[in-house]
Amino acid sequence: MNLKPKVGFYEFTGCAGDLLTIVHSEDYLLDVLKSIEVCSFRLASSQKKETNSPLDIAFVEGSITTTEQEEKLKELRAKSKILVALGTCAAFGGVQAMYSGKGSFLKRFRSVYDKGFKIVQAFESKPLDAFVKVDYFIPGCPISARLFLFNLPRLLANLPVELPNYPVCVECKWRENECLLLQDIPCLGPVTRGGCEARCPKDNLPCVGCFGPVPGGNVLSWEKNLLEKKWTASQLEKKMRFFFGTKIKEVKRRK
Amino acid sequence: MKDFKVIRVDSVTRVEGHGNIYVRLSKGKVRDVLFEIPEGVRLFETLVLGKEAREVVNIVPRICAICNISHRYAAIRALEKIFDLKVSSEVILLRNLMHYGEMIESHSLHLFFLTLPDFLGYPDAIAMVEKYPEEVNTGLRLKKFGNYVMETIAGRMIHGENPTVGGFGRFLTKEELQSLRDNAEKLIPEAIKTTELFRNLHYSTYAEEGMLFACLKPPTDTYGFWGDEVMISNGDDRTIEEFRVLIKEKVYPHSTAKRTLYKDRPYIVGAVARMNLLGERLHGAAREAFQHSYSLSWIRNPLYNNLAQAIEIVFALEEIVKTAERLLKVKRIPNLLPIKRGEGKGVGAVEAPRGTLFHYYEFNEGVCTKADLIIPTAQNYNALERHLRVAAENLFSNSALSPDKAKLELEAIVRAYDPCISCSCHIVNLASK
Repeated sequence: MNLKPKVGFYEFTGCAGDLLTIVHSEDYLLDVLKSIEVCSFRLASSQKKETNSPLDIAFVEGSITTTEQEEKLKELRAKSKILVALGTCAAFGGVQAMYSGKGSFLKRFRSVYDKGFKIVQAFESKPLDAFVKVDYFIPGCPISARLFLFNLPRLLANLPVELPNYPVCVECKWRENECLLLQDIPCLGPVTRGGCEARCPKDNLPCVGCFGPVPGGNVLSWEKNLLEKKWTASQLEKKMRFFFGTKIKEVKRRK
Repeated sequence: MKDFKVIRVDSVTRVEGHGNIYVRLSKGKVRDVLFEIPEGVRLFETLVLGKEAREVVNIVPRICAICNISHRYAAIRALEKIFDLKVSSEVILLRNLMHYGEMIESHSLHLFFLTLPDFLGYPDAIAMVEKYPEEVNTGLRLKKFGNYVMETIAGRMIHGENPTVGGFGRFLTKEELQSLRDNAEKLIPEAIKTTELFRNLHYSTYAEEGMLFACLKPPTDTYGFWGDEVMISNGDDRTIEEFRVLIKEKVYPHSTAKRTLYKDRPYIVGAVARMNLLGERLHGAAREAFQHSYSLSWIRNPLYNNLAQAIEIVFALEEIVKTAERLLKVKRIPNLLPIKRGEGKGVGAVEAPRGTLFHYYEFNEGVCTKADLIIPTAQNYNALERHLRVAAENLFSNSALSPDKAKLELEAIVRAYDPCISCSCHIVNLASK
C-alpha cells in the first residue's frame, strides 16, 4: 500500500515558469519526487494516472482565461484537500491581467485576432481565487525554488504555507544594495512582497513587482515620494499593474 | 468497415504547453491531420502598448519560461535598433554567453526529460533512473549548468532582468566568468557522449519528407545564434525585415491557428535547420560530432532535430570556454547605455533553442505603439502538420501496428519539433471542437 501523499501539478494559462522552476531544482528534484506520489505532472511525464480519485495537494500554475479552464479548475478543487496557487499568474492573474478592471479585453482580442475567430470561451485573465477557494498561494514570476522547497514539507506535515510578509526592501538591505529610489528610479521594492532575495536591485535594476503586493505596503508614501520627482501617477500605476493583476484594486484602495 | 474513425491524442505530454493531435480516417485512408492548440490567450502584443523600452523587456520574456532569454534578446535587438544604441563588443560577448546557457538548458531539458523516455520506452525520466542512472544524471548536470549560466548572467534562472536595453545592469566578476569557463570545460566530454547516445538511437522513418529550412545567418563565417539576415535552404538570403513580411502569418479555413509559409511552402526552423545550413561552419568537438552524425536523412526526417540539439550542446559548451576567456581579458567594464526618448520601428531576431524568433516594434514618443512577434512554433506549424500527415499515412496503412504504438510515434514527432506552445501566444485555436 502506498502511503505517500498524492500530489498533482497542473498548469493553465502562463509560461510554465513555476513548474519549470521545480523541474530545474536539480539538487532536490529526486528527493522531492521520492517523498510524494506524483499523480499528474504533464510537463514532465506521460504517466496517465489522471482520475477522479482524491488528491492531498494540487499545485496549480497559470491564470484562468477560458470557460474550459474554469471547469477543470472546479473539478480539481473538488477532488483536492489542499489547493495551492503557484506563481503570480495563479495568484494574481499574471502580466496578462495587467488591464484588469479596464474592460478592454474584447477590443484587445480583436486587435490580435481577425474577425474570422470566434471568441467562444476566452475572457480577461483572472487568478484562481476568482473561481474557487484557494488554500494558499506561493507568488513570484517565477516562484522562488527556495520558497517552494521550504513550504513543500510544511504542506506535507499539514502546516500552513509561510511567506515573507515584508517588502523586497528588507532583503535588499540585507544585501547592502544602494537604494534605487534615492536615485529617483521607480523601484517597486517598498510595495512588493519579499522572497526573491532582491534579485533585480542587486543588479542595479529596479524591482518590477513580480512577487505581487506586500500586505500593508505603504503605497501612498511610495507614490508621494516619486510624484515629487519626474514621475506621474499613471506611470506609477502602470508599473504596479505589470504583476499586481486583479489585486491592483486593493492596492489602490490603500491610497 | 466503419465510415470514418477519429484518433486523438489529447494534451500531448512532455511538451511545453497544451497541444492535441487529431487524425481522421475514412475508409482506412487518412483524411485530416491536425495539431490543435487550445492554449489560453494572453494577447502579449497588446500588453506592451504604452510601455517604455525597458518595460517592454520586463514583459515579453514572460511569454515563455524555457526560452525567456531568447525573447528578451530578440526584443533588446529590435529596441536597440529603434533607439539607435550601439553596445560594446563586451556586451555582445556576454549576451552570447547567456544565450549559450539557454541553449544548453533548453536542449538538455528537451533531450533527456521530454524526448529520451520515448526512445527508451518509459513514461518519464524519473522512471528511467534505475536502468539509466548515468544518462539521467548527465541530463541533470547539463541542465543545471545551463541554468547556472542563465542565473549568473541574467540574475535568475527564469525571467532574470539583468540583460536589458543598452547592456547589463551588472557585469560579471572575473570569478564568475572563471567559474562559467571551468564548469563548461568539465562538461564537454559528457556532452560528446550525449551526441553518441542520440546517434545510436533508432529513428523511425514514418515521417520522412524533404522540407525547406531557415535560420539566421551569423554576421561572421561562424556557427551562431543571431544575425540580421535569414538563410533559406533553397539558396535565398533575406534581411530579417524582408523575411518577416514575406512569411506573414496566414489563417487557414480548417484551423483558426496562425502559421507561416515561405513562398507558399512549409519550412522548418530550429537546431536541425541550423545544422543543415551552418553545420559545415562548426569547429572542434562539435565539428567532429557533426561529421560523424550528419546524413541526408536530416533533410527529410524531423526526428534528427534531437541529434542536432545534442551537437549544439557541445558547440555551446566549447563557445562558453572561448567567450569567457575573451571576457576575462576585458579591462574596462561597460556601462549600461542611457535611452533617449525616441521613435521608429525595428525588427530584432535571434535563434531561440527551437528556432528563429522575430520581435517587431513601433515606438512613438518613447512608448510602444505596435508589436508583432513571430515565434518558432508558428513557423514550424505547417511542417509539423505535414510530417504528422505523412507519418499517419504510413502508420495507419500498416495494419500490424497497434493504434497505441501509432499514437506514440505521432507524439514522438511532435516532441522532436520541440514545440513551445506557451510561446504560441498568438496561435490559438478557440473555435475548434
